Amino acid sequence: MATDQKLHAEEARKCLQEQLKNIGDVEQRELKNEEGHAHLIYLKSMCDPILVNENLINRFYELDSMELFERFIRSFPSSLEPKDKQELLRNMLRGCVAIFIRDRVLLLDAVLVNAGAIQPASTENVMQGPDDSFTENIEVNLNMIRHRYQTTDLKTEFMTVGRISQTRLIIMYDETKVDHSVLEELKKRLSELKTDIIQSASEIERHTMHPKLRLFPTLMLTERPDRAVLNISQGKVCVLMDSTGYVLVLPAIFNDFFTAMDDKIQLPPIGWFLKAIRYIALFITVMMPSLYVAFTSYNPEILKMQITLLIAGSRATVPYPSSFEVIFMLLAMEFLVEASVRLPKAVSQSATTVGGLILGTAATEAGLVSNVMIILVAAVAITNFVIPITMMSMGIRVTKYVFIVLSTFFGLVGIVLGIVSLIMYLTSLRSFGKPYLKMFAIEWRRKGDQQSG
Amino acid sequence: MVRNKYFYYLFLLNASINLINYVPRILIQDRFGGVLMSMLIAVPVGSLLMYVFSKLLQRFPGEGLPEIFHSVFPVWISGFLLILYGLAWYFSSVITLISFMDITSRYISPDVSPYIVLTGFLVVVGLSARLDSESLLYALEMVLYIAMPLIAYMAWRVFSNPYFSWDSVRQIITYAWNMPNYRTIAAATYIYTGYINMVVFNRIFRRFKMKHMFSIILVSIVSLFISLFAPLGILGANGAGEHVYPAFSTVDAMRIRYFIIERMIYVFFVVYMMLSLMNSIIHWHVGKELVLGGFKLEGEKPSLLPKKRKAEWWVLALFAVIIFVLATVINQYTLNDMAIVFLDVRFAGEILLVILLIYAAMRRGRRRRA
Repeated sequence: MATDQKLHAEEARKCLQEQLKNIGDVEQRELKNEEGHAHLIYLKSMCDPILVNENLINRFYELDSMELFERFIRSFPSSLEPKDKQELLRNMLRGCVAIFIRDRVLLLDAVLVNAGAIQPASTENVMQGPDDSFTENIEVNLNMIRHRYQTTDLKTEFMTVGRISQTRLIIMYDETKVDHSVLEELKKRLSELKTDIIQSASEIERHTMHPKLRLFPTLMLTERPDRAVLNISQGKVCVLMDSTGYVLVLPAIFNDFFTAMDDKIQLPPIGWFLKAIRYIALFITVMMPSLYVAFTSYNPEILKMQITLLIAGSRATVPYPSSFEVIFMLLAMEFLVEASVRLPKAVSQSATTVGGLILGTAATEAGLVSNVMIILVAAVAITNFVIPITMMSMGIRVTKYVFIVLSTFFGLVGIVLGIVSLIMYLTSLRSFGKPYLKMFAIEWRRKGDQQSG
Repeated sequence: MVRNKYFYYLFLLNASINLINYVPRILIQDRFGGVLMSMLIAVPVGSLLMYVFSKLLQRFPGEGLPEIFHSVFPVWISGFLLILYGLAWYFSSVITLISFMDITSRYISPDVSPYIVLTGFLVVVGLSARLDSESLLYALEMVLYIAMPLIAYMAWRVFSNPYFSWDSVRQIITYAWNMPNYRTIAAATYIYTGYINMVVFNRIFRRFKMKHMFSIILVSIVSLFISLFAPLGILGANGAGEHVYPAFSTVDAMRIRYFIIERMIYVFFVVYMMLSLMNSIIHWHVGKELVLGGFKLEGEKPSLLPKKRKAEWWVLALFAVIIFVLATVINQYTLNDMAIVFLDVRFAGEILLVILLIYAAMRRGRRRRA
């Protein structure tokens, strides 16, 4: 049986040449000496020329016998003998050199790594603390985590996903701390993944989590190695992925998205204060616009007399109901945010200035929106960016419109209905079996009999 | 699996929701009668029922009432009992929701049609009642942590109010030796009734055990004290009897000085709306599970699940329709009478439930020995 599985070299080479007919960057080299000859086929763009020259071509002419050369190639841990044509072709596309010696086909990994330098984190900034972020190369990322977590308990498992892209994944976890049911579930879901191309870590989160339609992320994407390491030490699983600078952390619960690495860097009371600030910001950014609608259109008597009069006075010239006012202004703000993300760096500054300052002032002076509204929109926009993880802050950004709609139709009652349903919705979500929203979420990280959920 | 603390939350929810469910009104109507004596009786009776019930449940770890009943009674008796208990428990939410709809249109937004408000309630309650028991308990915990500090603050403001008439309180205490009556006792024991939810939630508790009996008694005494004396002190010994919602009228007399909100009633409204929605969600959930259990669709058995999911919609739709129809036909007086009938029947039903459980435990014990 064993001989049957071996690939016939001549046949394989013919087939390969057939398959790679119209590909321009295929390089074929015949190596000949008096002992015999070898044939190399590889994709020039994927392979490291120095590696090929040093390890294959130079050696071929240095080593006397074909026997020795073959043994030399087999001594590389990254070399392998393909079982069938599919395997041969797949590995060549990945960056292997196919070597035909006598009647054997061997593959040698010579992939050219184009890793950029390690950059400082761009979406998760901290004040004081490590500045590195993950790169787009999976080996470099692995290295960064291993550097910070030096124990043999740190296990790594390799996988590939995506039918065409064949993206490499590494599942990392601390064997002594991880919840094995989570791990099994993750592997099951990843192996069930049926998509052609996987390019970013967030695609994995989209394809693996249930239900499909969600407003809040139940997996965390991070670009900070220190966060990944912290989470691994807390018993979570990280999924590293080739060609993105982000790492998936799971299971993730609501509270995790309100944790910045600053909390650990600063003194504990300051950390608690920062966290409290974030939750207050969450409350303001979700509730403020809808409360404004409820207070001005339904129950002006809730507020103190002076404040009611203040709002009514500043709204005196505004020709439409408060809900329209809020929606207009918030949409204008969303446009500004979107524009400043998409525009080239040089222009985005001026777009913000023109949009924010000039239009804002002009709109109030023209009496199209009230002064209070401008303050409110600014507060909502700023507080929205307090939330440290981008995916969560996007979810929150959408949530506030739901609340505005509810308060437009029901007033204060609608807001309370919204709060209750939001709590219900969040508590009903699970991230790999862990309850997503729960008071005192820290509990489940402690192991033992006390563990709940 | 959840921890024991969630049992106390279920108790706390009912203990705090009694202000909406006409309990203070019934207590106050009896203020010149035997209300104090009734309360004095209600505390040991209520806590004893709770204690016995929780002791009994320990014999059925991880089982809900449907499983227990089906194992000891013939199918038709247990089915009948379960549907009856399910509907009775659901009925508590009928009173909560309709009275809250009434309160909303009376105090908060008179210009929104009460039926639209009710529809909003029913949608949220109906959809949420379908969630699994564990999620509901987590949500309950969140809501209570939001509500409890505010309730404590409001209670403190009521009793520290310079206009609070301690004379009214003293006057009522002079009636302490009057004979108690059943209706008031039944109303006062309502605050303990949260344990009934365990008939379904027991399924997800791991080794359920009740401790801290002392703190439960303390909390219940405080909550009874607040629901009787807060209205009496603010509205006057005589005047308190004139109000449909004494708790709301009491809080409406309060104002907050150092915050942007002027009147306390809005804080109270928000807190109690969250609590009554939560209460209704949990009662619907329990009612739904009991009714479905009556039709032998209990638990999370995978073979039954698709059928159960379908039946669930019908039960919840029925619940919603009943409330909507009732809301259109009944007025404030019939609602009050309904509340009294419910509270009376509930007390008797609770005693019966405990007796049935004792019987079931005995049967189970005999079977194990045999």
